Amino acid sequence: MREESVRRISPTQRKGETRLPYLLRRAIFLIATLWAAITLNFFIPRLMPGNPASIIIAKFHGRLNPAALKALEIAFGLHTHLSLWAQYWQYLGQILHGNFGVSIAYFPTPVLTEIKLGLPWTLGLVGLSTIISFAVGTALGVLAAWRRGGVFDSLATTVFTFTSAFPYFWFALLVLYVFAFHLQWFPLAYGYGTAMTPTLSLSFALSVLKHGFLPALTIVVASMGGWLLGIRNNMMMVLGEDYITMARAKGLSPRRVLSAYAARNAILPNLTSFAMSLGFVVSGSILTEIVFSYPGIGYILLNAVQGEDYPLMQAIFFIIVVCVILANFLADVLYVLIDPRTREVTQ
Amino acid sequence: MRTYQEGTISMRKSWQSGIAVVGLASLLAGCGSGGGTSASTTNHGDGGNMTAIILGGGNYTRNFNPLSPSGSERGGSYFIFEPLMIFNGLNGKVTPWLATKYAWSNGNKTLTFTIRSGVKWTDGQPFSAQDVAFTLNLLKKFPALDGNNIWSSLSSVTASGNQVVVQFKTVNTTLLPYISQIPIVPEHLWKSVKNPVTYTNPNPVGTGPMMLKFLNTNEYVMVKNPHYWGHIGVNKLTVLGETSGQTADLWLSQGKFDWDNAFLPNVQGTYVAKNPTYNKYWYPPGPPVGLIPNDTLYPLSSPTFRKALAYAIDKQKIYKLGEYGYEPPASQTGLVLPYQQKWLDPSIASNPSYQYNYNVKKAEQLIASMGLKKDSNGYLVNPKTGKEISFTIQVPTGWIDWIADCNLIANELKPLGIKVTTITPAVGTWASDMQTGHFDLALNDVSGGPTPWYFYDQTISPSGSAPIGKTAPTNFERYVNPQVTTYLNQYSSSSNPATQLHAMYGLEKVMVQQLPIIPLVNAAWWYQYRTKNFTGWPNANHPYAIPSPYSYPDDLLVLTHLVPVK
Repeated sequence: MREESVRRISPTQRKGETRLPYLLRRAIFLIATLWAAITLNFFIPRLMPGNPASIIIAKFHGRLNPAALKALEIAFGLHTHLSLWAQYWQYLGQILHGNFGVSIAYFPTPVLTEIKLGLPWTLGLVGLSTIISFAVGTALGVLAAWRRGGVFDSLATTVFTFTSAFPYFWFALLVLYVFAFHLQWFPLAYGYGTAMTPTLSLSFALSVLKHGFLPALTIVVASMGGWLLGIRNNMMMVLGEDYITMARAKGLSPRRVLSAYAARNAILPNLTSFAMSLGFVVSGSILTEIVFSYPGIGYILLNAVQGEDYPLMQAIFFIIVVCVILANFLADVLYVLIDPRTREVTQ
Repeated sequence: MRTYQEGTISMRKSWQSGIAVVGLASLLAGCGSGGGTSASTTNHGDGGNMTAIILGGGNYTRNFNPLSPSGSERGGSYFIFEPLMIFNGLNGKVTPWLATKYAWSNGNKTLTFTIRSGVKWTDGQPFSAQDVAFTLNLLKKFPALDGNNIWSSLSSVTASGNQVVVQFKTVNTTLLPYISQIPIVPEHLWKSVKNPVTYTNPNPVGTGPMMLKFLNTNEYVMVKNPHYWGHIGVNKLTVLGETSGQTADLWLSQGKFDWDNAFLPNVQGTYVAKNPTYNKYWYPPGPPVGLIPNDTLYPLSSPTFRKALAYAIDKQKIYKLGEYGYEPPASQTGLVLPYQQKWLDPSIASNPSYQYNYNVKKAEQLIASMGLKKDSNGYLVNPKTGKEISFTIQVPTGWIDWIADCNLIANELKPLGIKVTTITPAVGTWASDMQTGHFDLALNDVSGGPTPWYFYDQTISPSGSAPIGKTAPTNFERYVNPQVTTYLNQYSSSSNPATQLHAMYGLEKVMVQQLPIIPLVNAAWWYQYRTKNFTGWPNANHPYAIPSPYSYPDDLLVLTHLVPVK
């Protein structure tokens, strides 16, 4: 799911463009994207056939009297007499005030309450495992490229090509079956033990760790290969450059050539991907959260989609969009900091 | 995914998320040492403690509004808030609950409930007829709470002494089960609730057998109400939240649940065989899954053609192949047999030409009698348009068993010269296409109730129909027959069993002679139970309620029947 796009901004390209500072232009772009996303977010669910009330009736398979349709429509506020245009303005106003309405699948719980329930778990699990995966994967990839053709390189390349080709769902199920069901080393579901309330206690923290271990493991194993292979390939290219030969010829220590000359340049494209994937962290890892019944945003999003819960879906999409756009912006800023070439042009 | 295991949907939903369910289940079946048996080495029960799965859980918040039109913690709310009477969903037998009796008077325009005395709310306040009148009137004030639209027929509800008097503006005795099953809330607490539609009722106070003790996002725990007016053998009930299908099924096979509603493709191998002494299941038949023809389209508009369809479809095959042997063939009358046997017209039961057993010859004869002929491709030609007769059959995407059923139907109709193509739109499209009449054939499961009247009202009542393009609330096939209205009204304006029986016979005749829709199989109520900790479960020998943990109000009957194993 990681964005593999590599964005290099060549200095010559930008010279002819408007004189607005680079970051300011990115900021304007950010706001325009945000507006477009909100607008799409508003219209798309309204263009879909069916309404949540009739879907609830259909899903109850006859346990609900069809007369309930009217009651549900009133309760969900579907009997609105406002024009689409007026609804749109109302929606914009509500978003600005952070009011995302009431969930339909979890009626009458406010959407924000549901999201607040899921967000910390997703940030913790997916965020941490993404960072671990990136850090370890990148370090191993740099090593593999430095000793290219060696035992470690061929081993790591083979193993991680294999793991990154795993169908994730299958892999996660297998891990769940073996370690949680068969060996019973880890729990089968949830983010923490039953009969516990989230508190700042050691036993709760241990419980969270125990519940998060398997899902985190599967994410790390499945995604590390991508980072490793990506940085390894970049390194190969960079190591062929003249300035590396130059650095070596100057008699710099191999360690310094590796870190300050090779890795620093090779990491640039990967960093963009990393920032993007941090943005996607909030969308959770839907498959992970399903397989391990982990109480995160991905799981809530799935329920929202299945229940045609527009308000909940819209809020989650909104948060995802905001985070992805911000992460992108952050990547641009980072680029300016790390890559001196971009700075020269904008100054 | 086991989200939303409402009604008989649990099966489709388990399927929706997939293949994984099958994969793991078969893994389990092949693995004799599968976990969990260690827990059952001791022979005594768990001191009245129970663990169950009730539908629609997960990411729990304190949401215990029993009147809310939807919501995730409803299952538990129904053990806290109680109805006036319970009409069990299998055969309609009445069990008095917060009301001890009811009586019709004034030409069935007045319904009087006598309210049970000595009942207390869990906060110590006495329960009274005032609370009942308050709750019913709350539904009038907030139509969003009135899911059964009872106030379309009522004029007033008042309390006097220990009686609650319900006045009708139009006679409608069929509202009795709906009125009786409304969960009663305490007036002294709810009168200050500003908007009972969006109220989450975080600290529920009810009259029921259980009280809320603890809740986190994964589960909630209910304990016995020590002052309960009735009998309750369950001390503690743990309701576990939604998990992915595979996890819940693994837990089930480990023996973690006393009461569950899972769909398992091979329940014998993956559940019962793990511990044959304690692990049991019983899947009684529910309302029929029907083939809904668009009765406004030629030739589906012809009863003769619909009869040919009924003969040409092998319901046994759908039962065995499409539905894993869990959902038996349905009666063309729409009655859920054997539990609704007493309503069945003996002259229909004994008439072989009303049984519509699989008979391709008969189907061919009926089609020939309409003068329809095949073209050189082997397909029937519509004499009005000169085109080949071809239908689509709609079924929601991901409802794998229904899709299999549709493919079976398409295969069986092909030799007759009828081209049928299965299409699988999103559930919303499927629902709205049926409502607006933009379909040829569709699979749908139709509603039920304590008597077959509810099934007829919700499938063939002309009042539920609408012209093509307009939304029909219930009568999707758009079968309009004034005779149906007459019989439905005859039943709903009477409280005399003989009159009602006569009206029902008339409706059954319409079903077997006109075939407005074609019931295929009876949906199953999913239900697994363990006899290690509790006995008294409903089963085939003791069918006192719909047994699934989500089947309000029957679940209350089940819970109060259970006896802890010492």
